[in-house]
Amino acid sequence: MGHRSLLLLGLVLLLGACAPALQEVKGMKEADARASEDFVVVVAREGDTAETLAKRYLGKAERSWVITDFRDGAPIKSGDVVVIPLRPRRLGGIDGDGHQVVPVLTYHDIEPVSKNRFAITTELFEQQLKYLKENGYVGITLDELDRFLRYEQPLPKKAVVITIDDGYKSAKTIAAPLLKRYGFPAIFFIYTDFIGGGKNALSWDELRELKAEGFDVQGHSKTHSNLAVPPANENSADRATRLDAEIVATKQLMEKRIGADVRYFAYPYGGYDPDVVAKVKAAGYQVGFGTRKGSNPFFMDRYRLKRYNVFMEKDLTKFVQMLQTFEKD
Amino acid sequence: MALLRHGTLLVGISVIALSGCATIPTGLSEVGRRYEEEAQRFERDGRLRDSLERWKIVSAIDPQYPGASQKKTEIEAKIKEQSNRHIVAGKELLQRREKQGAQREFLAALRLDPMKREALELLYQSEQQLGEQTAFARPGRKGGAQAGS
Repeated sequence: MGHRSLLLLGLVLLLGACAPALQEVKGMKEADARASEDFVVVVAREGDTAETLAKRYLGKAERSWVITDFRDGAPIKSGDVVVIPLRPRRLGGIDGDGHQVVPVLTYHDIEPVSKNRFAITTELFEQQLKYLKENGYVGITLDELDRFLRYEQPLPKKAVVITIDDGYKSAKTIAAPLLKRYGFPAIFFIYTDFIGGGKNALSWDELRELKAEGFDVQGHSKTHSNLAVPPANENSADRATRLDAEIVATKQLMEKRIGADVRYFAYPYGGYDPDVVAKVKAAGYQVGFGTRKGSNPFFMDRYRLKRYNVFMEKDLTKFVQMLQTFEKD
Repeated sequence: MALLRHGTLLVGISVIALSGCATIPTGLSEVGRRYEEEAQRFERDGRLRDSLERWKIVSAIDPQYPGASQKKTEIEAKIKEQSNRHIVAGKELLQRREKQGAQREFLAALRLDPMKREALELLYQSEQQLGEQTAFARPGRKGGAQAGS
């Protein structure tokens, strides 16, 4: 073996031994970071935040909660060693001695002056959004909730869903601007007979605008009758026709008028029975929401999810009680 | 002379290469030791998933860390054995229609092994079989004093 070959062999052996110890970490000097399939361990530089690190290593600043949750909310300072999980962990929110549960809040009308318990004041609505923001709650979309329920995607520890029912005009004029100001997504569950039905109701144009602004618009039946309470003397054929109109035709009409998938259904008055649930499933909805009080674990029956009604009489103390995000096993 | 020159070069390259790959910055190696201690504490407390995760962090910092690989293998074996035991217990409770107890066991299995498909399917099944099938709102009129939504 010549000297040159010996030299080359030596180099290859040395570099080969070295390779597994130092995997390349995009955007960082070797001295600052280590990586495996599961984690990046990085020394934070001046100006690094959970958002900048999430953008660099997880591809999206919006995934900063993955870093924040792993640190139990501890802020990041220059020189801190930050561990960044690269794979989904805590699927289903199983953690410590319990598991995550997701509260779904339900509003109806929002008015400067409340006329009944369904219409909460603008002031109270804003107070509640401010509370959520200041206390680390993260608004999630129904698609994210859907993936959580399928055990496919973990959620921020303090995930919350905001829904607004029926299709009142205030969803556009009051709720949407405040939701945007505080950075919360929301889902508007509408019943189609109400749309375009007067000065208090949203129009189809306004629904399309809300959709274009990033909000979600989903199904809440045609007439808002209680689907689990049939009218007197309704036979099974009439019931099937009625459920078709309330559940199937509503989906088709909404998809045509709004131009987007309708995959989620909120049962009017929270009423459902096995026939109603079967029809909702057959129509192609992925999730059904009732109004039984409570937060939802990932293994909750996806067609019988719970929601909390937020009424006018709910002051901040009562509101906070609804924000349960963890349950002991 | 040429051999000496090449030999010196080889040694030089070796030193440079080894120093490049073997050195874990002080800050990171301290962190590695901290995670090792946490891994050991979690194992003593029976939190095997958390212990395994800590060992994985240790390995991310230094794949050659003494004992890390062996500990991961040991803990994975314990996890497998214990999660299977929880599944058996959960199935017995499910047969007796004890929803909460069964779910607790399936969750314990998933806590140990998040990819335990059987535990996941049984957990969903327990909710669908034993959860409430029907919900009726209190009677009332839209916009009036009733259950809402």
